[in-house]
Parts: sequence; C-alpha cells; structure tokens
Amino acid sequence: MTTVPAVPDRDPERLVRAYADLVLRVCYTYLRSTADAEDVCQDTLIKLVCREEPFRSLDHERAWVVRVAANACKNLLRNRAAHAEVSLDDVPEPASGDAPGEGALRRRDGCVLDAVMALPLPQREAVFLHYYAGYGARAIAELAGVSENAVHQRLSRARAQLRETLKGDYDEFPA
Amino acid sequence: MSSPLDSYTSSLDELRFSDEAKARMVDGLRAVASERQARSAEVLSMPAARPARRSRRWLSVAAGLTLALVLGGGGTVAVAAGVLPNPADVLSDVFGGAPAETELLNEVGRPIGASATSNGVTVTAAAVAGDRSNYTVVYDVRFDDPSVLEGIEPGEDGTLPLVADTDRHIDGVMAGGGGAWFYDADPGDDTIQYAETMGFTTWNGAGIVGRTMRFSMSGIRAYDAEGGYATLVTGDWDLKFEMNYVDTTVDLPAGQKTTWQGAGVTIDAVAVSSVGVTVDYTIGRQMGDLGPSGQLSDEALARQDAVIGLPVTVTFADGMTFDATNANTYAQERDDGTSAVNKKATYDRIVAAGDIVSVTVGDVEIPVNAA
Repeated sequence: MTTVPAVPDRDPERLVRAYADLVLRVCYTYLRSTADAEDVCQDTLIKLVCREEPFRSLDHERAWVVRVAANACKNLLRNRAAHAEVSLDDVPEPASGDAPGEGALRRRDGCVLDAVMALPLPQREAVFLHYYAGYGARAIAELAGVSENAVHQRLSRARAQLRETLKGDYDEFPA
Repeated sequence: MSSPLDSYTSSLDELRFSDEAKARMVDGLRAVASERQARSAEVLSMPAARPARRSRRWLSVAAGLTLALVLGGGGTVAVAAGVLPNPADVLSDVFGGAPAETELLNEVGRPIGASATSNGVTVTAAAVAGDRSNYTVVYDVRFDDPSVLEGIEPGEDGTLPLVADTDRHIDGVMAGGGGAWFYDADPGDDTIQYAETMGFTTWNGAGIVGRTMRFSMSGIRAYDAEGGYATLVTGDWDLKFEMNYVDTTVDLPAGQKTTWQGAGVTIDAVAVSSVGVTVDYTIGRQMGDLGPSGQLSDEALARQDAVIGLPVTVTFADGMTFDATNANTYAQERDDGTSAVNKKATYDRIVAAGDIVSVTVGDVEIPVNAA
C-alpha cells in the first residue's frame, strides 16, 4: 500500500496562521523593520492562493513562502535605492523606528539580536535561514541564488563577527 | 548553557503580528479566493493564448480635451515623485498605429514607477490610464542581457511573439479579465513593453480608481515555430502601486427596454470614458451549466450567446466605431430566472471623451451628449 502525501490546502486561515509570523520575521531580517511586513505578507500569501501548481508537501510550501517573501524584501530594498537615485551599495539599509513588538524584542535579548541585525545582509540572511528557519547550505544556496561554498563562507564570517561582538557575554559560541 | 543563537531564535519568536493584523490578512485572502472562484464562473476572461490584436483604428483627437476634463470632473490625483516618464511617452505606442495626441495622453494617463528585478530582468510599471472599471497598464521589461531577445521579431500586428505568466489583484474586485501583449517601442534599446488592458467588477460598484494593484510576473515564454512555447526567463517580479489616474467616466442615461433573441432586456447602466465602455443589463433568461470551460459545444455556445451576446457598439465623432460585443463579460444568474450581465472593454485607442458620440446597446442608441 502506498501513502499519498496530502497536498496542502489554500485555506486563508491556515495560511495566515502558518506563515504570517514567519514572513514578519523574514521582513525584519531583510529590512531591519516591520513597517512593510503586513504588505509583504499579504502579497506573498495572495501569490500562494493564486498559485496554480500544487505543492509537494508543507516543507515545499514553507520554502516557497520564505523565498517569495525574501525576494519581495530584496525588491523593496532595490526600489528604495532606485528612488534615492544612488547605487544600492551606497544606501544604508532602513533602520526605522520600532514597530509594535520590536521594542520588547530588543529589550529581551537585545545584545544578541542587535549583533545579528548589525551583520551585512548576506550574512544576516544566511544566519536567519540556517539558525532560525532551519535550512541547510544547499537550500540556502538555492534561496539566496549563490553557491553552497558562499553560504558556508557567509555563515563562518557571521559566526566570527558574532563571536567578536559578543565576547564576554557568551563563551559557548558555535565555531 | 545556551548558545547565543538560541537567544536569537527565541527573540525572533517574540515577533508576531497582532490578531487584528492577522484578521485583516485572512479577510484579504478570502476576498482573493472568492474572486478566483467567481472567475471560474466567468464567461469570458483573459485569453490563455496569444490575444488577437484589435484592428488599428485611430481617431483624430485634436479637439475635445476640454470636454474630456469637464466630463470627467477634471479631478487631480496624487502622482509619485521622482524621475518618471511622461505618460504620453509610454502610452503613445501601446495600441500601435498612429500616436494619440500627447497632451491628451498626459492628461488621462499617470506614471507609476514601481519596479522589481529578478534574474537579470527588471519589470517596471511605467504608466496607467483607465476609468472606473477598465485600465491599461504598460510595463517596461528591461533585460541586463538583451541577447535573449535575439530572433524575436514582431508580427504583422506589431506585437512580439511572447506571452507572460502573470497575475494581478486589485483590492475590492470581484471578477475581471482582458488581454495582454508584448511590443517593442524602441528596438534599439534593451527594453520591451508588456501591456495589459483589463476590466474589473468591484464588490460594491465603487470602481478601481485609487485602489491598490498587486501585479506579479513569474516568467516570459516565446512562441516557437510549431506554436509551442519556450521559456525565455523566469523570476519573481512583484509590483504594487496605486491605480491613480484621471477617471473620465461619464454615466449615460439608462433604464431603456429592448429584446435579445426573444428575451426581454433592461439596460441598467452605461458608462463611457476616454479609455473604455461599461454596460450593465438584465436579461430574462439564463445560460445554465455550459460544461467544461474551453470545451463548449455549439449548443452551449448558442445558450451563452443568448445571454451575453447583446451587441454593444461605441460610435466616435469621425464615424469610426468600436465593437464591444465581445468585451470582458460577467454574467450572474439571479433567483428570479434572469441574468445580470456586465460588459467592460477598453478601446484600441485613447480618445477625448468629447469625441465619443454614442453607445448602442442592442437596438437602443444612447447619445453621449444626453448625459
């Protein structure tokens, strides 16, 4: 007897329950702000509802949501850079005022979170996708559009920077 | 002892949307899901295959600009700041043929500027013109490596043999459809244009002006010699912009009675604008279940035509006409055995509202100057 995996449904309540907070955290990671998170989340989930092809599994669906939300955030960053009429590299990433929830977030484990959020975007992205979202190097490489070696390098540099930044506060830091 | 990265993950876990925000998102997604279900019951929608271009008939629009503004209320709308193109520079080529008057296009159109880049291709919503129910948006599609466009030549109608995988959603819409095509306004640059003309029905009848448009493109495919498709590029291009443009919609007198194929028809509403026409009517029959979409039998087609086939023609000042009979049509069956039909169409040009003489619905001619 073979088991046919259940194809995830597109029930709006399930989608919001499963992914809204995840997309919020994606937005915070990429944009350093949650100001546009609701729009990004709605756009992402609308695309999910409108997607014709079924997902193979919930993991497949979740990876798709993370990728689409991440791309939306990157496009927001590009648009901000374009409207500023300077190159993207010269534009500081947004550091807007705290949206509801962000203040408490910073107070709680402020030093670690601040250290991660101070990393350059490629490293911050790798840390989020690996340590928070739980993806391996290959999956991160596909999501970020870089090689697996580049992912390993980004994670290594991120850890080194965090170890330096958090020296004295945390002695047990992963190598 | 816990790792600092445990602290990082637990910190992020604290970040959550409020229950109110989640409820808003659920409501928004339900509206989208409902719209998609409504589309499945829709009679005509955006063609899956390459749309047949409409004939190129262009009006003289030397006169009538003042009338257009008077008829449309002449309202002002918010325009995005920054370096944006003149609408006329974008819209003058969209329908092919001779360009319309620059001043008119700049009056009725609005620049947009929203942009997204993926896999070396940048899609930018360049300009929009529309009315209460219909719109035309032109998107610039710029290739970092334009060599992928080599060998793609325009057909006799000026359109490129390309098709885009797209979706769009406007807040508050219930059903809609239209056509889309690629063209190349300047073969000397690395950018081609993608144009969409669409008509939408909104839940509350308030129209689409000022609402938020969310447009996404996931790929562009090229037709091959055998009539199949070959993928040209894939990516994630998500754009969001406001449908801010001058609404030149004019409501014409309604309530007239006529017949179509033996059934009584009441004309409920007629509206024209610089870009299109919208007609609502009630007809005393229903088409029932037509069977699978795309596989309609001759009998099913006849039943469909008996409800939605009521001819609609727009007559312009120079005597030219636009046939809106096969417009984007939405038919809703009512409990009393009648059908409420809505037809929306954009012309193959942008005209001054003052150059629209009349709309003929069935055998009822409704002059625009009667508005």
